[in-house]
Amino acid sequence: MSLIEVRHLRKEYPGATPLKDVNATVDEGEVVSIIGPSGTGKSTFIRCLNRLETPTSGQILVDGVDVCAPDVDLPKMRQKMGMVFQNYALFSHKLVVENLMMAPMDLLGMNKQDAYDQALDLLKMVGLKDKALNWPHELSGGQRQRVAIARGLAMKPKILLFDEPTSALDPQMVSEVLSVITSLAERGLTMLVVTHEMRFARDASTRVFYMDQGELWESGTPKQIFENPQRKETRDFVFRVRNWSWEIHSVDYDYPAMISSLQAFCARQFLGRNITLKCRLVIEEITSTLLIPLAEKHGVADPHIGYELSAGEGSEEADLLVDLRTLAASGVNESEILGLADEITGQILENNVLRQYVDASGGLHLVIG
Amino acid sequence: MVKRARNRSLFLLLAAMLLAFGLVPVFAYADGEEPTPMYQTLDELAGKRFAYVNGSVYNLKVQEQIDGTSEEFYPSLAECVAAVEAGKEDAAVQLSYCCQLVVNRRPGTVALLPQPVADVSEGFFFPRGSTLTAQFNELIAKFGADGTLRALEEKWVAADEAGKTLPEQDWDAPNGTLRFVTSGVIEPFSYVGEGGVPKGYDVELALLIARELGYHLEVSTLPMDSIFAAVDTGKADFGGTLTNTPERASVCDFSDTVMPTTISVVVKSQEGASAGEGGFFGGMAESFRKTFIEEDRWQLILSGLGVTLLISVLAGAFGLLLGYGTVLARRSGVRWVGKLVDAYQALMGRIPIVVVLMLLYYVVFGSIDVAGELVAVIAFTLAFGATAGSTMWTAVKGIDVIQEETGLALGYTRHQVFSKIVFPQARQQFMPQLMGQFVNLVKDTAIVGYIAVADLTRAGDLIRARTMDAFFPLISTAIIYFLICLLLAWVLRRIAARFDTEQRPRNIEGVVEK
Repeated sequence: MSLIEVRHLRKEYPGATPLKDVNATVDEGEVVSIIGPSGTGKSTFIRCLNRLETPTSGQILVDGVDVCAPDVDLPKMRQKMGMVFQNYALFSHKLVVENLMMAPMDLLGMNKQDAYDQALDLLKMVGLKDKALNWPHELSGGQRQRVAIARGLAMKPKILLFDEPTSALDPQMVSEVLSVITSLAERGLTMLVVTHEMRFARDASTRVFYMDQGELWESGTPKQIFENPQRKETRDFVFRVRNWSWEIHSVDYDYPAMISSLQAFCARQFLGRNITLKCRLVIEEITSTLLIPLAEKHGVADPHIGYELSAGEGSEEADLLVDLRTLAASGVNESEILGLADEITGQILENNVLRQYVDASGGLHLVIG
Repeated sequence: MVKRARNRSLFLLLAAMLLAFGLVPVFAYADGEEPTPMYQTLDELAGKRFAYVNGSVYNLKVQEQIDGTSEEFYPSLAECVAAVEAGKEDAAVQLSYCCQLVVNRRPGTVALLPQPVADVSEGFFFPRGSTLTAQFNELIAKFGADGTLRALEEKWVAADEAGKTLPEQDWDAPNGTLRFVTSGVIEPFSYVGEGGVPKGYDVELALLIARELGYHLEVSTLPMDSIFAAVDTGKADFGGTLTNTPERASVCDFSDTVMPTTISVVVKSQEGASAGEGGFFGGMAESFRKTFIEEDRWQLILSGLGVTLLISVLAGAFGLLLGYGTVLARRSGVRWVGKLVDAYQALMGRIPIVVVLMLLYYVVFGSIDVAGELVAVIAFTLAFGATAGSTMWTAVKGIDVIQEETGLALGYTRHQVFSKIVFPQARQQFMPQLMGQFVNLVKDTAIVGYIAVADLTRAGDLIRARTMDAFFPLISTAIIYFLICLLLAWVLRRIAARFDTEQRPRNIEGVVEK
């Protein structure tokens, strides 16, 4: 029998239906990453599992217990399922070690010494034993999230649920939290992790759920989902998370938003400082000194400049596709655009662009590195 | 038929009594039927509770005549009579003319004792050494001789309000303007007429004298307790009228009597009565000695301080419980309960506490014999409960909902989540604000004098009214309040420190390191 069994789960709010019809099973010891676009019910799904949300219809069996039954002992059922939230939510009125001692003492009847010993062991496991007597506000976001994970473990749950555990963290703190979660996966704890960290989903999980439009769209091993997705939506999503794209629709475009989005992508793909800086320089230069003046010169209100940057994780090179087709269609002289390629490499960016080429559909590619 | 006959005999009895009262010439301006007083003679009032107007010294006269009476002071005769009507006091004492007026204005509920208590002499008073005193005395004597005073008396005690107007100040005033302060609460001597203009026997006499002396007159009204101070401190050139006592005469100069008159006792009429209790006292002398030593007035202040602290601490404790109750009620999620709490907090937030206090004392508990102190505790519990409750609720609401979900996800029940996780974190935030609100509560209790509770402020008022020394008792009261609030804030900080994580030692008691 599966540890978790979900049948025809549906959740409706007035005016929204985040979960339409979800069917899934999770076996003991599985580490399931739940990926998918924002707002497609991933969080709602795992919040239904421990009844922080009450499903509209359907059935959820956890360890053989129907958690939707009206007479279910919710607190007891929840003790079997730890949960780690995006915002860690440590209890600010308690020392770090007390955050880990509270629930076992209050709910499991553990004596103080045992709770303390266990808390220190768990803190040691997440690498924070020396912070035991600190106040939560004295810790960094990554440290707090590790404490929150240890707090969940203190109740000795069978299942641990993670709701975007790294989304609120600075990029450099993501890895310290992910490595803790990965180490738990190796210990055989059953985990469901809603995440945007594709590398974690690919490397640390035994199975990946792709959720879209309120349904479990596709489920399979990381290899299946990332390398051979069966459905178009999954393919698009997997492509999107590996590529950065941006469109400029006005000569008064939002420059800071574009740059911060680019940098977030580079951080997510673990691109080095050097290549990140080069990508930024190239895109800045093309936009502000070449394309925008060109659009202004020809009076094009919506230049529709498109960028698409793709780079493998940790790669030293990045491929930038500059989409100028709309600009060309808006009456900009074709020879001017064609002359651009030489100008870009020759004049401004010779240190940053390795080579350029035009693909089969006529798109201009710059290889940055 | 039987009923009608009984009514007729009752009517005849009343008529006979009226006839007897009508023989007392001083009450010539009385109109309408006289109700029957509860008591007929002064002796029957031995050991009873007497109400006086702030600043009056008629208690001394009464105590000469009647044994074992207690005394309470109120802002004006109206409050005294209201207390008598409510059964909180047995008798109210004031100038006979004033008493008769009150009895006429409240037909049936109160009545006048047939015999006046004593003769009294009221006069204008001046800053010590003022040259006006002698000039006034000369004119009072002249007006007495030529019948002016008699005419004034007849005019102002008449039932017809229409004729009671003041002369225009159309005379020349080579000597400038005199500033005259009067209470404005003692009809027919000094009261506020149409358009808020002060008038009355005292006011017109002051005008006539000013005209003779070549002055114009500027009349203003002040609370009873303040008029003596206004003259003493030079904010006015003269005031009046008040009873001349040796102690007062040691601070200000008094004119001769402007109208020889009597004081009378107002008691409940025979249509119902209830019992209660009361009793408080203050006395008379100069600055510190006058305020604290004479007549052991320090005891008054000490017991006032005790009352202030008692009311504050009880209302603080009960208000805290009530406030916590409103938080729990709101958390229940029941719609109408939330609306009820909203309504309660909106009501308390929009009605001045002094009005709430008086509503409770004179209306809600009007017919019940209940100690003013208890009413005060109830009123301030309601007030503090509303502010404390909304402060707590704001802090509780400010705790991120994720804290609650985290607790639930760990396996706590909803109730445990609140008591162990949400409330302790909210408490860290609302404690400083709540402490400030409690200190405000202590200061706010200064208004309990309105319901004749002798707190610290009231003790100061009473002493002030007796000594007629404004500065020293006020400063003393201010200093005592300041020190008490300082002390309370310190105690509260010590208590709050127990809940403050920043001040807690970083250790876990009762465990050993492996």
